[in-house]
Amino acid sequence: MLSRLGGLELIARTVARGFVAGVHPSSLRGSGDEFARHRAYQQGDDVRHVDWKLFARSDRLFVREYRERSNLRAFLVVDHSASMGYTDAHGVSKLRYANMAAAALAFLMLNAGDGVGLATFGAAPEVVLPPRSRRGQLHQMLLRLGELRAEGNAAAVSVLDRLGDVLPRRGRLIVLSDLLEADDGAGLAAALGRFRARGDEVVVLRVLTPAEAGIAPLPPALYFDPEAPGAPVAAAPATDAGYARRVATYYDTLAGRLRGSGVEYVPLMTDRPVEWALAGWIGARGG
Amino acid sequence: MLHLLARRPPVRAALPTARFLQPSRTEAPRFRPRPTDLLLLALRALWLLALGAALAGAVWVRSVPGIAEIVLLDRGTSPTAWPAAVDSARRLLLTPEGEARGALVLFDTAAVLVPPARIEAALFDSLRRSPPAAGAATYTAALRAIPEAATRIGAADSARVTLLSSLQWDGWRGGVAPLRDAAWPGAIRLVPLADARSGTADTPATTERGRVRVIGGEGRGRFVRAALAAAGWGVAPNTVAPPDTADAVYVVLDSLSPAAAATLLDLARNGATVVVAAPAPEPLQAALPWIRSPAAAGAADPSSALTFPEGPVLAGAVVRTGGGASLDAQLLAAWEDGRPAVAARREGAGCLVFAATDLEGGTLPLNPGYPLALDRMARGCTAAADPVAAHRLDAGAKAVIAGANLPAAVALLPSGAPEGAHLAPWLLALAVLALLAETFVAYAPRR
Repeated sequence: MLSRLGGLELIARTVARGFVAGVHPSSLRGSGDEFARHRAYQQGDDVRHVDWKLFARSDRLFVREYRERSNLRAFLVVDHSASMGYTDAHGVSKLRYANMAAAALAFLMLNAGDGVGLATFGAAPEVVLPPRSRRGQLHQMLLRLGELRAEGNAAAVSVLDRLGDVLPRRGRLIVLSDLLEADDGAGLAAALGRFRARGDEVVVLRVLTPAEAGIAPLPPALYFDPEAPGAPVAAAPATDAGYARRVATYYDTLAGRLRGSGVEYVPLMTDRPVEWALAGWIGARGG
Repeated sequence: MLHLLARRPPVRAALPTARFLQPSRTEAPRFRPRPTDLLLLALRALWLLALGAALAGAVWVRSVPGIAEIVLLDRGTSPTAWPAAVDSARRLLLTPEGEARGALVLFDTAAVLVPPARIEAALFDSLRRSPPAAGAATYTAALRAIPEAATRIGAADSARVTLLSSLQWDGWRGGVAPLRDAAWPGAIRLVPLADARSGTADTPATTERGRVRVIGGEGRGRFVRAALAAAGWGVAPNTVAPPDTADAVYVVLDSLSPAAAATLLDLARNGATVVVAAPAPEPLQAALPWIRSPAAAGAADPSSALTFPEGPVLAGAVVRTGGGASLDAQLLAAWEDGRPAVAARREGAGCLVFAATDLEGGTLPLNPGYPLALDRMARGCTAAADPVAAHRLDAGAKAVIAGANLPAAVALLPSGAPEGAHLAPWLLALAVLALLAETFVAYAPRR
């Protein structure tokens, strides 16, 4: 449904409106050094916060309210390799789905005062935006997300190795990918484990289509892996009962490996609206 | 070719989880011929052909095997030869059972078509009793009637034309040659009939008009001699000067000495006809019925024709002498633009004729009417054709009428709206059915 809205900013705001609670407890306004708004003076307010200039103009007392500044730095790591360009019958590619989820998460975290950065891996790993919480950061992120094209076959490890220097300790790392790695995710699990070891919060949002999972039927054809050129395989997945099982086994094994390293693993399907999927996840987190 | 191009190759699709696929043996789409491919090819060819035939308006016309006859019967045949001519036509057009197998064209100066429906034994009996026409027939009238006769024949799918005639020159007209090609694409069988004027059918004319002598070198005048011989003239060997013996006609094709010119003039005054072709020898120029113009002889337009009032039209001349006929000259032929080409004048008892062109130049001798034209010049100042000297067509003229290397029988094409069953609606229905079947076979879901 959200895919029909078009722009990522609109999507992000729409998702955010669906949430009552933010993803971070420090979404409250409080003492801080970033002005949030004016409020009418009430007895008991700290007079140091009275805006005397506004009083001189309006002859009414108002106090300034400040946003509590968060120290959390987060990175959204988006996979835009060739496999993310796959689109099944529902018409939403995995990259598009990941972009919508990343836009919504960025909006929520920036709105909560978190610093959010963007890193991608596809044709090559790239730290696109360092984590910041200033105004304009969301706009820049949405712009860069919109420019992503599904290409290349870079591994997630290639960009994770660069984030270690950019992401402060006890930061947050959210990886959005289909996790179809050449090494079956072993390198990814190890890299994410290192982030966990130094105290970072790590979340992996696995994006997959029903057809890839074996839930939706696929007609007989000559199939080929867009990231691994080679001889195509003549197959009929719809009648191959073992196909869905093999896919499930792969992801279950990888999920077990990630969870064993303390990484939060969240499977997402493109046939489920992204706002529902994120709401379900965040709700389950209790955040 | 479209069928082969339209064969669907196996579907290739990207699938990121292809590593988890197991190759399928039974249902993998391999590019190998299917039994339905031949059926599809046949159905596609069928509907294309049926649609094309329907749009072309195909008609089923029952073909009748056999060759019909178109008989051209010359009504100018002499009365003595007429019964035999009618019998020949009867044998050609009636089967032993008395059924008609062609059309009859009776022609003299005009043609009358007798359609197959009217051809019966009684017709020939009646014709046998009817006297032939008084005047000479013209072959152009017969040729013009052939296409009409061909359209009337419905009992055969091809036809053959036979000309029953005495094949005389007096039936020849300038339009025969061009009309021949347009009238009939096949050969015309010539059956010569006897004619009292020119002897029996198998013997050539025995009346010799006199002797012609070419005044010129050894190699000169071969076309002239051949043509005049075909026209019934006797031909004497060439001489460079008039000999002592008197001939009827002298044709001067080379230069002459003054003495020879004087001798020729004497011969003309004594009754001979002297035909001089351009360029005229200097000693004779003053005597000729021609006034030279200050401009010298120039090249003639090869397409410009030399026209004789009696009929022959000769094209292909390459020399055209300037000037015109003298006031007392008789005009025998003119160019297409009306300017004089051949003039004659009485000289004592004989005649002087001047042809303002080279009589053997260009393609002049190749015209079918060439013998007739030379015959006219050789007759000189004679006003009318010699009634005794009717002579048969030469081999060249016969070849023009007969048609060289043409098929003896020609297929008859239906003209207008032929009778028969119109197949267009059925073919259209067949095309639609074939297309539906092809669509079903091509796109029916396969397991």
